[in-house]
Amino acid sequence: MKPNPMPCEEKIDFQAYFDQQATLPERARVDRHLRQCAECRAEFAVWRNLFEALQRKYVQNASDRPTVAEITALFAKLAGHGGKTASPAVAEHPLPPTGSPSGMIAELVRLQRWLAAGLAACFALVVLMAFHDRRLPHAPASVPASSSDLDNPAAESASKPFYTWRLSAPPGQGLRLPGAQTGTPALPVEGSPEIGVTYRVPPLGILFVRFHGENSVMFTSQAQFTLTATGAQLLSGQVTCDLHSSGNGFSVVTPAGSVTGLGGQFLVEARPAASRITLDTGSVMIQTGKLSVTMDSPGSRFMMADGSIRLDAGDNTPRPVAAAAGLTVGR
Amino acid sequence: MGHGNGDLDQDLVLQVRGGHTDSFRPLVEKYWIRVKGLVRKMVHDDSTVEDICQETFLKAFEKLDQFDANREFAPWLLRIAVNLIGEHYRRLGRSLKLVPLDDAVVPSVAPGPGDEVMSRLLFDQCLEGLPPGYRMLFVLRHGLMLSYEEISQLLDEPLGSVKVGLFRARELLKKLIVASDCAGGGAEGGDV
Repeated sequence: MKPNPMPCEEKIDFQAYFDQQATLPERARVDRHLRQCAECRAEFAVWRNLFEALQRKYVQNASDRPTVAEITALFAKLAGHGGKTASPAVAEHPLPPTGSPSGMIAELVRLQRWLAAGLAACFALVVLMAFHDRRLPHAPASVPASSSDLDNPAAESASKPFYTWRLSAPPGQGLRLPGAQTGTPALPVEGSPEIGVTYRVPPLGILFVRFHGENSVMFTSQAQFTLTATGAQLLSGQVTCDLHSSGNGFSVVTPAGSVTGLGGQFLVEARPAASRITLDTGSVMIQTGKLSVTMDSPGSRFMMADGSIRLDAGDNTPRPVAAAAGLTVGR
Repeated sequence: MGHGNGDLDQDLVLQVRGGHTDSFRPLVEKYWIRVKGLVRKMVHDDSTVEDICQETFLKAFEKLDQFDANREFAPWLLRIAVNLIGEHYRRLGRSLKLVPLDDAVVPSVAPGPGDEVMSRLLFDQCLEGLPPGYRMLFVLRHGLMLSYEEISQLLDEPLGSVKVGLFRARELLKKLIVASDCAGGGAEGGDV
């Protein structure tokens, strides 16, 4: 591959390429050109580095998830609003003057409404407080593991479960803790996993974990994993992540390194000598002890135990990276 | 922008309007991370960040009867947050408008090749030196991963201004990347 002797006249819209605004044929044309043009390849590398730096700077992270204290403070203020949006019809009908029989009735009705509103507010407060300790089906996040966590923000952020699970497995197969003895009853097929506890998916089982409603994480291949406040530690097996905006920053940590989702779908397989990442859509940040790279086009990479990152040769075996579009070395 | 789940949001909004205040909770839990992620990148004072986040949801709750339930909830909510951030900047005598960029935002002295720590510090400093409107573009594009169209609607700026604004700001920052060679393009600068 020879460098171009003349300045390249090709006009490449790198911003459109990296902002996912370019069409597939346009991207393919750019990729083809880059293989032949060292000058544009150098410019491409600068743009890639810039995008990676910006991505790293602005990516949403798990620490922005709401804490119990924040939710409690907000709902205390909302209680002060008295459900302002709830019954606009009441304000739309002016009350008749007091003194007349109809006015007195109206006054009574008004007092009754105030009383009802007060009682409703009290009830809402009681319900809210009660639900802090009972996991609502629609509110899996931000629930403290114990009441003492409410007074301890550190403990609260470390222990709050964001997740719910559902297991699909043949009869007789259930979700178990790795050290569980034979005969120990399996865990329920649905529930909220505990943060920091290691689970093992049964041989033919698929464990669906969801958080913030829209994000789906699927453990398979007898995965052994631990959920954390910011993602999952995958000891073995596979996990497929389908992340939306609220799931950005979800990290899968394997023995060879970590993969942080930046929106999209990806698969992580934890293997003894290496971990494999297959990106379907979106982008991920891959970090090993030596490297930090952003992968933003579909394909597979291996995180090796020695901290290097390799391409998938297409036969499930790693080969050295010779640079590729969609893989950005950060450090 | 809402990445699906619009029906669920719509149901929750209708429930809140019907008087079920506690149905607002899942909306808060779902969108808090996006609102806070946006506010925290634009405002550095923790208590102001907290105030703006709370105010965003309070306003949303208060104005929920004005929300068109056939549309997505996320853009409407983020618009409230952006407006509140705009108010915050206006109080400081600044604006989120995409004013012409000054090249002076890039320091004249760039770090040497391989000086990674200095490069990153300068990069952060450059970002901070950008007018707030441009930083908002980056937060919306790189943080919330919104499309140009979504950003345009959210900021009430023409689509062309968003594209050009992003390009101009990135061009400025690119100078710094080139000068410092901070990410070591050589590592990946080989064959594609």
